[in-house]
Amino acid sequence: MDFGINNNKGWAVIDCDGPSLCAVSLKTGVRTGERPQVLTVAELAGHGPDPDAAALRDLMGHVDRSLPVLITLARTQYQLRVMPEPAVPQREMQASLRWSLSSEGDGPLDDIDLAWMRIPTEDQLPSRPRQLYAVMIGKAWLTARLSAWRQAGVRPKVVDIRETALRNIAGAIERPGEGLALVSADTEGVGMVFTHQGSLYLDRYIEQPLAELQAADPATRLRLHERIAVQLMRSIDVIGRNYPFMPVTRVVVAPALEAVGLLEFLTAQLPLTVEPLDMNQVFDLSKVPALAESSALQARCLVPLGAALRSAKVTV
Amino acid sequence: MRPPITHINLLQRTAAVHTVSWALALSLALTVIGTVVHGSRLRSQSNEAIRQRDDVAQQLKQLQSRMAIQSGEQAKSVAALALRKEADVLQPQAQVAQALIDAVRNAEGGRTDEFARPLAAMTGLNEPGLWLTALTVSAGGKRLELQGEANNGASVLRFARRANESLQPLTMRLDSLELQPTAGAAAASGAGTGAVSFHLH
Repeated sequence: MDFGINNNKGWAVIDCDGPSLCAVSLKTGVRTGERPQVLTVAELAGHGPDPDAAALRDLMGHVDRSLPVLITLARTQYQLRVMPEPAVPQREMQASLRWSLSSEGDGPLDDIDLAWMRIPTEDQLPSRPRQLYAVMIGKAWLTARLSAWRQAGVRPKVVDIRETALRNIAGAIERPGEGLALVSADTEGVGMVFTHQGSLYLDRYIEQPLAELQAADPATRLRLHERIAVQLMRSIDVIGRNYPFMPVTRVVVAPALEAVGLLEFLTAQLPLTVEPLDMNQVFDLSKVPALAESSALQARCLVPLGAALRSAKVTV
Repeated sequence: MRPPITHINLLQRTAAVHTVSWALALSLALTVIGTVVHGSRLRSQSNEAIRQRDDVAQQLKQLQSRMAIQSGEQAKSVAALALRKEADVLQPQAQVAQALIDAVRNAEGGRTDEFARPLAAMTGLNEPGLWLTALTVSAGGKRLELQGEANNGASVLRFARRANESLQPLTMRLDSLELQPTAGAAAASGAGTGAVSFHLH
């Protein structure tokens, strides 16, 4: 849930996932019909998910410091799970979710922070039990990271997760009434988000190191691509059975760090429309030609750019 | 129309803490501002009070000055009253003197020697609160009658005793005393004023 953040200017986003740090500045306060404008992009190689203060200061030198800061976490730094929505008032949701999680054997939950978002089905399937996404993060870890970030001059207003960042991009390119699958690959695996009307209904992540794909011979690469395609089709089948109001008829594949042939494989093998993600369709890249020209940089900046869309009203 | 999109912010609890911090800071700032404003008002009221105090002190000085002047006038009044009392005290003697003058004027044949001795004896008498209204010398200076008024009967008795002491060398004596309350004293007898008229002979 997003309480107390009412920003209509834009965001400076820092993403600490993967072997490099990435920062973007996005102006979302644009006129109706215009796309959010990417102001700056910076990537610092050679840093892990817990960068030192000097690296963060260096990165902050490349963003618009007048914008509020948002940080996107690595997948290993939080837990995301789907669970039944407790039938309680919203003000009691946190406590009820904690009770539900603790009764499921996850142990004491006093040491975690919890956020949640509904999977909206009440209009289309009113008799179906409601579900929600719960995001859990270690309280001590987050406190330590906040302290480290603040010592480096980074004072985030928002800490977000990768799935919602990708959801924002998928929501921006959705067509009315459709269910959309967005497939994106990073250094550690392939992520999939399935959205309808801008909301996240399903997510999948297949651990598949990029280096392994790059190093694989053609037969192995084919087998790895088939594994990804099967998982994608199973997920689409799950969507069809559980959310029949949002048929997934289109798969959009985000730019990749390296050309490993996933887009081409899915286009050839899936009985669905498979399209590459055109970042120019979502963002105004006129101020960052390096980003406009580099698919690899687009792939690296995909999550921070998606996270920066949280306050934008994008219609494609 | 799309339903509202929910966003995740794992800083929500920290943000809430910040909200509380900001609320506390705002409350503190408002308190400080209120204190400053109140302090300013207090200072203003204090200055006003000091100014009023100085005005009152000035007025007090003026009043004291005027009171000093009035005290002087009162002192003069006291002196006048003292003089008035002294005059009152002297009035019986003046009346005695006037009675003597009248007696001399009414004397027959210019036989002043017959009257001189009893008159001389009487002029030496002075009784506060007693005054004579008539003095009659007859029988060739052998008979003396005194009439007058006094504040009380005791004064008359003292006067009569002293008069007899003065007349003793002249072989004269006042044997009869008639006392009557004066008209005013009779009317106010309930108040107990004690004024009397007397007749000594």
